[in-house]
Amino acid sequence: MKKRLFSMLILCLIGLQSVFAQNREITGVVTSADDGLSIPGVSVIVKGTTIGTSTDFDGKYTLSVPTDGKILVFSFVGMKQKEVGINSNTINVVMESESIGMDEVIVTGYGITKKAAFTGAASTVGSELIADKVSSNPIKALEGSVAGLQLNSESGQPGAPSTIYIRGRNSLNSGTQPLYVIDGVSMEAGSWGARESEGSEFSPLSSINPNDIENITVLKDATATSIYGARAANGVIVITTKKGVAGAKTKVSFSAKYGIEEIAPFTDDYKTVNADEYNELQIEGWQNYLGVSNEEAAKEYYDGSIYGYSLPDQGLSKDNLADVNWLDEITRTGMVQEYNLSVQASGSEKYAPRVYLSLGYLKNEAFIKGKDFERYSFRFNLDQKPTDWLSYGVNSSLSYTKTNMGAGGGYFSDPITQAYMQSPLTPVKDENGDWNFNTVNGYNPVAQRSSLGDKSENKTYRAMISPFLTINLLPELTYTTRIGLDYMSMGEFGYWSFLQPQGKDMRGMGENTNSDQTLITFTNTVNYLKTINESHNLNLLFGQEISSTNLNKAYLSGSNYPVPDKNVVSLAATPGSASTDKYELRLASFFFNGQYDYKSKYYLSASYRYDGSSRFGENNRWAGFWSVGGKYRLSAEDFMASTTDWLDNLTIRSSYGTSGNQAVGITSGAIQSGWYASRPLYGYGYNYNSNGGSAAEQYGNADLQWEQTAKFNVGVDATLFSIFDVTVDYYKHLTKDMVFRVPMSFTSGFTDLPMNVGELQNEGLEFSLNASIIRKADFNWNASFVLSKNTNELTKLSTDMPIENTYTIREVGHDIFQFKMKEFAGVDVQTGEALYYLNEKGDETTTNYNKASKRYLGVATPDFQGSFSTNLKYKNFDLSVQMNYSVGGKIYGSNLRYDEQHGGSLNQSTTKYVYKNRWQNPGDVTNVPRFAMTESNKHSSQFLMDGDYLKIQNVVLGYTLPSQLTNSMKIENVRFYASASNLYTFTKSNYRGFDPAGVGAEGIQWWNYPAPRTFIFGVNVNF
Amino acid sequence: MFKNILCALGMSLLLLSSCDSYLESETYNSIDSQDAFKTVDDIKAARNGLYRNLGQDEFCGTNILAMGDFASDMAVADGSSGHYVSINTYSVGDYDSEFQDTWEYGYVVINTSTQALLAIDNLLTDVSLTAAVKNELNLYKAEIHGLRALAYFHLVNVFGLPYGTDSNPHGGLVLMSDKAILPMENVSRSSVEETYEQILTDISSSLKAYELTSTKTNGFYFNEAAVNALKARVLLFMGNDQLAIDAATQSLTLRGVKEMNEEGYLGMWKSLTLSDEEIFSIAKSEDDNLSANSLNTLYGSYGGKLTSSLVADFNENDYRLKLINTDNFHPKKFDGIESSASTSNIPQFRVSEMKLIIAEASAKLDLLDDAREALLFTAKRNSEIVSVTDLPTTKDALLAFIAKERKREFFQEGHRFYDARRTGELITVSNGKYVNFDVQKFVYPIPADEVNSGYKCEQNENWFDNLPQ
Repeated sequence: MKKRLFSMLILCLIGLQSVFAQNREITGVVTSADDGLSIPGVSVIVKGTTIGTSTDFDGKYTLSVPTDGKILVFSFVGMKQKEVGINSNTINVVMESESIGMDEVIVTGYGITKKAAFTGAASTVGSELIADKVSSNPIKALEGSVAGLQLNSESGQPGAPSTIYIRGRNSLNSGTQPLYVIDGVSMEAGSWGARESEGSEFSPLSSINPNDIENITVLKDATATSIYGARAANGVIVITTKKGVAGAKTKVSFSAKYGIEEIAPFTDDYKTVNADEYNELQIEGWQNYLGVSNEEAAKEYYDGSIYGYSLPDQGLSKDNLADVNWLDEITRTGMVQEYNLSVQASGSEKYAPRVYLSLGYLKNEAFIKGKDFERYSFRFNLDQKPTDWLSYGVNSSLSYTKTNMGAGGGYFSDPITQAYMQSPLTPVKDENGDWNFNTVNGYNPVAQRSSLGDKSENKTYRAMISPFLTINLLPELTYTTRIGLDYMSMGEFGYWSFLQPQGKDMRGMGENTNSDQTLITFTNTVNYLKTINESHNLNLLFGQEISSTNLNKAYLSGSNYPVPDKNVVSLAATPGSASTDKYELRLASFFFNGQYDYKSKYYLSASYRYDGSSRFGENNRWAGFWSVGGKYRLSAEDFMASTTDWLDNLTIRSSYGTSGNQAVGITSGAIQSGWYASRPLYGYGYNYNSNGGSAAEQYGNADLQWEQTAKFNVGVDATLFSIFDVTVDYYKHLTKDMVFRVPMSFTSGFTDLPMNVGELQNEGLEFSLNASIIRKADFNWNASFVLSKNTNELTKLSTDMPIENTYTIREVGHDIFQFKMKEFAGVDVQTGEALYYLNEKGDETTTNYNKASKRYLGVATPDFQGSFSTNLKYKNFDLSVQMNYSVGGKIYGSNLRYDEQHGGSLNQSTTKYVYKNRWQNPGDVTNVPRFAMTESNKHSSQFLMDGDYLKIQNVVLGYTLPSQLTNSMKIENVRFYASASNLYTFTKSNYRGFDPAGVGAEGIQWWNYPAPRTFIFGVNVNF
Repeated sequence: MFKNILCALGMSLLLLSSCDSYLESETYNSIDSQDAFKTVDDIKAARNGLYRNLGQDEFCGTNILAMGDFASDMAVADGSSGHYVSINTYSVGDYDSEFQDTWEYGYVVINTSTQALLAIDNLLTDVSLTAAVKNELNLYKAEIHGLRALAYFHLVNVFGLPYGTDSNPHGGLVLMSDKAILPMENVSRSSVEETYEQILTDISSSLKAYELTSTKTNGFYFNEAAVNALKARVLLFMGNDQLAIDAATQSLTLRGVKEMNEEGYLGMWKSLTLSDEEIFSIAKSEDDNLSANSLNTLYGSYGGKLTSSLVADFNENDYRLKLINTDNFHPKKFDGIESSASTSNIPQFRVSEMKLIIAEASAKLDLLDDAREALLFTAKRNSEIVSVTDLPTTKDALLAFIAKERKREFFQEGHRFYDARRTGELITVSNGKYVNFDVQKFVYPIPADEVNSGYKCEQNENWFDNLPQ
């Protein structure tokens, strides 16, 4: 910027000098085709001379042109140079962005590099995609936007984590989630929560304010990730936060969002029956079970006594039945509000400090009663170069988040699970207005989530502070040292209230869990940048890093409260269990990265990292990871000159290398699990009769080592007609030494043992197309299409035996998400009994479930998935739409075994699908067995569905006030917008569930808390 | 400036040289397994851990007891809560968690016991041990042999056919006696007979070790009376009636029998203090109980209840009926203590069982007077029975009475399924759905995870052919 100002000044002087020779004065305004705004600092030169000027702050210029001057040349960094013939005294110019983006930078391992010089595969999502979204977790903005990235949010709970697979799932039993790096420092991003295994989980990513994010870069291939060595096998997600911009004036921004959220529309087949339908089914069920006529069954059901299940048995009266839709009762219209205030400032001189400061507040009341999320965040980023040889800075953020979570994801007491069990006949409140607990199972999910009901509060304080110092030792050599601190303190309070059966039995049970984790990273790097003979560019980086994670947890509980409405644990009369845990994990690393290019045409890169981790035994504690990459800018060759009118850029790049996964030995989602994976452990706390006891915890495996994923990538980037940007990547990953919890004979006292035995291959194709269809000052339209295809195959398992479960199998030669189960063959047309195919092949059927053989019935992995999106700007209006899709994956509705019960779950509700399709009379050809008491569903392909979907993910319509109006108010701009997300999801007709996109990659559906549909109104004001 | 650089470089070098020690992370809650059984305190902790695992819901805390009732004509599971429904309705599969858990925890007890016993024998070879330490070690040895025998016995009752009915050489359990099975070792099941032999060997080793110790333990541990009680039960299951009588008598002698009155009998179910009735009970407390997985919850909010046929077997003057809510068939043995509904001790061996073993074995041996005398101990809990003359006079009638008496005495305590398999009585299961079911021919599957692990544990082939139809 300074340079630009300086050159501007010189140009002005030149302009002044030439005044005496001029005889014509040309004036005009230069604007950008992208946003129609004027561009200051554009160089305007008379072609073939040194006569020129620059545009002023308003994009205006005045230039005296000699009579022989015929053409003006307009140039500006990042814009296409434009030549305009001088044929009038006013020449207004619209400049277009340079589509190749030669100067675009990409944030990679331990630094930034020019995108043009980057040989790896990475995708960047900018702030404009992140800020308009309504999610407490900024990572959710990546959904559908990045080729090769599969994001599943299995819970719509605000603050809950999402599962991300970058280029497929590269491990079966070890960590599968990418490494997260924020402003150069790795950060904690796993799922947290004392009852995390029950679906009460909190993502540390939710403590980051999306509005503070400048961009998120997803690093995919070996070149991009190997520098992160032992933690990079699952890819790396690099978050860069906003900074003060040098030379810019102070920019103050304020944004506000306000809106609602609600349950998203879903198929009628998955809705529960109403009272009339329910009664009809119950009577039919008893009719079939007792073998009596429908009339007799009805009489018994309404007035008689059948094993305690008739209406009188349940204390219900035929004339006074409720008709409750429990899902409606547990849900509400939720609310979202978010406010952000930020300041970006820097002094006007070169050595002035640059500052970014922000305050944010978000509150989200979920559409499920009793669940909500609140975040206060503060960020302060500073950097300064006080002298030519030194710069320093700090990135820091503080946040406080408060969540009411409650169990989710299929846990028995989860309100959604309960809503599908409760009978429509039992009211929420009785005639006296008190909560009704005379329900099918004594639970009342509405009462349970009411103000005196269960609590599951999570309060997290987080501080991320990362100071750094850079010293220019020589013009080519810089040294940077950086300390990263990521401190999280989480206090959780859980309460089983008097308003649920177990809590009532105990007169309330409260539990407090306090966890605090400190992750400290200390990094030192030396960077050598040299250009030799103006054509050989060299960029070398040597580094060293250590990190240490310490986790402390304390738990205490108590029950038997004197009153139901005061529930701090100290009031509990009966002490429960108490425990404390302490864990530590350490990592030490050395690394090197080198980049070389020749005339910005041929690029080479290589990296090496040597990592040691405390997880492993001495034999295998250290391992090296490496990569090589190359890139060739074909379009820069002379022989391509003939194509320059349509082919703006064509590069081919390829890379190969390895990266590791140290998160091995994980036994559950628990954050500390596997930290001591290689060790044989005998633990304490197995007490009996108030005496200390011990028990074997893990057998250990001294030979346990890192999983290594070798990654090959070849990609092509092309820009055509200055309109289309195309990127195509093919990759192949092979994970070797994959850790399996190899099943052991239980007689050994252990059920499994982590061993490096497996091999898994992922192969895929990524395609992204971005078209800038119209680029004009007041009309701008672009569209993009992202498609990813990933296939995987297990190439080696622990033993010759596949790992088989009731409906899935992991077997060599198959997808890791292969379904294998007994195949449902419809129902017997005569009796209405469920039929299953008897043998592995053929049409022979049986009603004996145990005799039926299993069959391979598809995989959960989609054939391909991605998104369409488009952005349209016309005058002051902007519109963007994003649609995500997934094709070809299967979903197994494990929940449907219960939700679509056909009599076995006495008195419980069932779905309209069962009501509509059940077998009723001999001759009925259908897929739902007869409704008969005690007949329960078995795991079979009866519940296997197509997971295809097309989702209208996001629609944003914005209006920016005319600048004449805002300028007069001293405001830079004001934009109002309305945004709708998760608007509608089209699914296959056989899909019964809330949302196929809310099912995890393994394709098993539980009572997943679906993502909400939100409608937001927002305003952004920049001063 | 150069000072900074020197500092940083110096630190880097320092780190380089000390990297390996930097990577030695500390464990705070556990120790290396190799150090697990080095001292008498280690053995004591391991023994406490064994009781803990024995009393978990996966094993004797809930599963073994609940199967005994829900798989027979004693109890009905609640379809709405879903708990124990598959066992109750015989819609089971080899993947059911009840089987996986029971097998897993049973073998945790067996395997750890084996390791601990080996360690004890090693420690006992140390000639420098004091008498007090030897005493203590022999006590633990006796208890742990008993615990291992108990675990084998429960597992073979669930996963093997009844003693004497099975000729399959691999129908019993995977056995270990001197050496614990290690991960990655192939295993093979023994026969049911061999399994019982191992159980008797363990019992005898336990009793021998009890001879070498003078330390006594109470009824929350596997004391000498309890080991004899187990012996009596095992011998009854094997049909060794005279030896069963002897063992039961020995157990009662060691326990010391005191008659309990109605108040004491009913009160013991609401108290955590050991009563005169208990020989060995698993101790639970308010801060250490099975919570949602307890029998209390299974028969509480999960809706398990007794069958109407069981309730009909009681005489109205039987005070044990007061442990049943006759309106809704809710049994009250595991309703917890006043301050905590989920806290109850879980009796494993009781004086009454010994009396009923003596009664049954005597009747089978035609010692009808002895049988009646022993039977009267529990039978008079029905106040209409006051003397032996009120009891049946023929062998068959007596045995039939004893079978019903066991139902009345042990509801919720999980004896019935195993008793019916032992005697061959045809029973009605699944809440009346299947009558005259020959449960003696039926055996549960070995858990799928064990068989699928690939370490060659044999399955009970075609187990499902004997499901009730």
